[in-house]
Amino acid sequence: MLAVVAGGYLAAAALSTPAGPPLSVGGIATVQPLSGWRFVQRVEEAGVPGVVITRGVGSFELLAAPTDQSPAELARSYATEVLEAQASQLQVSDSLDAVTLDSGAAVRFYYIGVFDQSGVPLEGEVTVAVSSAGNGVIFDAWAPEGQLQYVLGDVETMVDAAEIS
Amino acid sequence: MAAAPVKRRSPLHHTSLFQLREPAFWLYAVTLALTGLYTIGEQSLYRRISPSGWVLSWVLLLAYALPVFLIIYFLDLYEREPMSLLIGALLWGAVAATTMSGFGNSGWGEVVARVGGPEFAAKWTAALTAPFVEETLKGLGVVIIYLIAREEIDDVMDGFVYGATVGLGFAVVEDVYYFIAVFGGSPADVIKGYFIRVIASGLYSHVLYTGLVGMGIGYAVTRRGGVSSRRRGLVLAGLVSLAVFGHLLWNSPLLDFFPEYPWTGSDWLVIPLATAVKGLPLLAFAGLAVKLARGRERRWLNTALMAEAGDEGISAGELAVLESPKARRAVRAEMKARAGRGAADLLERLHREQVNLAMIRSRVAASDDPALIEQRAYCKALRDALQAIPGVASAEAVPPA
Repeated sequence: MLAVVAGGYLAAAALSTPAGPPLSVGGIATVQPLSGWRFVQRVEEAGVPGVVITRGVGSFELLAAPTDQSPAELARSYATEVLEAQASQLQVSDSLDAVTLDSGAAVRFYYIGVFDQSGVPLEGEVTVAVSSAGNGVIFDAWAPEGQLQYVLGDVETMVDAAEIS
Repeated sequence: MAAAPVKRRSPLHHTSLFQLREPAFWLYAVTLALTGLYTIGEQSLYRRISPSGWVLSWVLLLAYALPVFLIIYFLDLYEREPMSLLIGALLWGAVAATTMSGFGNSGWGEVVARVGGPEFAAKWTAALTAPFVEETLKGLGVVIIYLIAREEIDDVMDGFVYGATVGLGFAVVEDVYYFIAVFGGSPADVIKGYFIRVIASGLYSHVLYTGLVGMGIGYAVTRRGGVSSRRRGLVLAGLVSLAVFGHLLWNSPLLDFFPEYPWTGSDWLVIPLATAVKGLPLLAFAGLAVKLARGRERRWLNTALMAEAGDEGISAGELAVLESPKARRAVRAEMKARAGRGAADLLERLHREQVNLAMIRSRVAASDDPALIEQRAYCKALRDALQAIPGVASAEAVPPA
């Protein structure tokens, strides 16, 4: 009974092995990709540097820069200045969930929207943290609608373990 | 007029769910208590999300579950299972199996996503997790019921009854989840979900899968005497595999003829056909298996009582009636019309005790075993009391040819 109920989590954890070199953004945040994820490119969103990795239809972006905003303010800024600016349609979750990462407290919200001419709706999960040193970090994971849940296990493992200075 | 013998507990089937000395009972109770807290929390959440949708879900599902429960209960021709054990099986399916399956499916779903990637996982997770996780946890309920009350599962049909009951409990609670969390939860969404999951698919779901698993368990635990352990293992594995395969096919993208969402007009007619393509073959197999199991019960009854026929416990005519549920109903109805309800009830008791006579006969080695002698005498006393009722003795308790 225990094997059936808990075995999947243990097996999934055993399969979630780090792969490839850690990716650092601006000397502020470092994320360790898990096996199956590959580097795509370095990016800049609204002047903030970042890095994108992908696994199949799932993508994961890490942005990091110094900030004087709180996690909640930074999350709202990201939703309006980045997501809303890029989307032709967008719905963002009403409230921010408080989450605890290995590096400290953070907030999380969810969105669904259309971001390109294909018209395929994407759903995403955004986690925002601000370190005591005043560095803001945004983790944005997205996938086509209905498929995000299948990358969130990996994403949340990487987010939890990310190092933020 | 001879007084009817005092009602007594059957020497054979008195096992209730509450076997405090059986470790299996405590495993059952602790698991049910822990998962019960979670289930209450879940249901409370659904009620907060949509109070009217939640109430409507339960009303509609009880209207479906009650007749199905009675059909399962009455499928067992000769020896109905103790109600406390059936309720126990129902609760295991509704509370323990659903809760544990939720966690199990989620964990193994992460494994599928890790191994296959998100596109593959989106199509195949439901097929590659739920059939294995859910059939194991529901089947475990039948095993635990067996370990609590070993003597109550004495044939393949009993296994089907307990398995189907576990499956029914599971289906009801899972449907509430779907109606609220997947279909949307408003009364209109609930009715839409009811059409899809109960009217169009209700015949093919958990009742069927776990019924087959239960049959396998019933075969494995009741054929120890005459069938090799290898054969029993093969039959068990075959029936469990069939249930898992049926469930896997149901959850998979294969043979998926569902119309594209949103459904309009004739789509609603296509949906039952789409579900029938996946579900009907397994339903036909299960129907055949149940028919064979019932036939076997009949043959068992005949074999067990043939040597007794003509003795004081049962006459040849009574045996002919006892073998056919239809004939039994007919003679009871005739008895009620001729000699009143009391006589019909007494005749029903006689039939029940004659089935018990068959069970004792098949379990004891000698024809002069004290238990057998006592049961014959009890049947005779019931018959004497019956025949002493005015209006009874004028006709044989045998249906017209």
